[in-house]
Amino acid sequence: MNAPPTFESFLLYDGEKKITCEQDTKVPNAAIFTINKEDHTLGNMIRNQLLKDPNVLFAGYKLPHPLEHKFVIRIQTTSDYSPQEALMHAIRDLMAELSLFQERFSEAVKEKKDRLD
Amino acid sequence: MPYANQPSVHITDLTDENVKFFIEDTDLSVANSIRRVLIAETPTMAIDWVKLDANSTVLSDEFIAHRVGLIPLISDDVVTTLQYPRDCICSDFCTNCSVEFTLDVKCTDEQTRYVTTADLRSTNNAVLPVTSKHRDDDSAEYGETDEILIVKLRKGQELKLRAYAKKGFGKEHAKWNPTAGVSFEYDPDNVMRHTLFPKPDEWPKSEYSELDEDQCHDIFRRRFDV
Repeated sequence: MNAPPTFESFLLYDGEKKITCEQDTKVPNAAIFTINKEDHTLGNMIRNQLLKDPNVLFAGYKLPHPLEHKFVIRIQTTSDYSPQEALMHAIRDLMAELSLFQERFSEAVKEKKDRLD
Repeated sequence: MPYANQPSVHITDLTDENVKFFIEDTDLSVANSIRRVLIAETPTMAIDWVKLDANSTVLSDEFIAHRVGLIPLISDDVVTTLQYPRDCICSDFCTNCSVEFTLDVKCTDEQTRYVTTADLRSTNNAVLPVTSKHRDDDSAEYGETDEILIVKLRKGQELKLRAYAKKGFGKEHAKWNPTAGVSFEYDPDNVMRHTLFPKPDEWPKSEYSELDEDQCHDIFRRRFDV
């Protein structure tokens, strides 16, 4: 009776933004991004990619509540680098990695199919 | 690209129903995200709107509609060209966003009539229930088809329905989940100590394990055991 519609886990409401940014005042060079209608699939990947960057001092994500489909990611970087830049680089690296994976996977499938025939 | 990984892929098994592959030089999180996306975010076709014109079966309307929705449909090429119904410009359904199905069965003889996926007729030959793929090849196995049973009819009972199949993905409803099972394995010998075996000898060794036949998992534990 109180079940929310299932498409709520991935469709944005009217006027809802996909990603919002908030500066964290407690420490220098830190920001908190809220990404709507996404879950661990994206959050874990982005967080791990950010941790590879040596200029990133802190990177962590959480899903504030399992019934609300969004996650919050907090990034703190060194003084010459902004969290927004770090996030952009992380996303760009992930996209490159995944497109390379897609290419190599389709090649491998074609090769395997040819070998089977 | 400062810190991107360069993954490499090797496929070990490839059949119509199963793929097994190795992926190297990548993060655990990427492998996990791929697994999650395969289960919940790859689009497929499934029946999502059912109108029953006649139902004198023992199952209720919504019961039959639920069962019909769960029937897996072959969606290989169609799914990439079809639009999501909520994005389509048409008001109800059209050929750009859906595929129509009909089912019309009436039991007239004394024997129980099985209504199966063979009775479900599609308007698009590319989108058919999965079981129809094998019907033409194995006509030798007469009694043993793998058609999915929808409902059984007695003499005089009838089932007539119209349905539309739409594009969707697992996050919305499990009927759009294309996989039967996705799993991935890493660190077969527990070198990274991500897990703790309470009784190591009870756990079967993985086929990718690099330990000898008689060595069991706790070979690494003994060194650090307190």
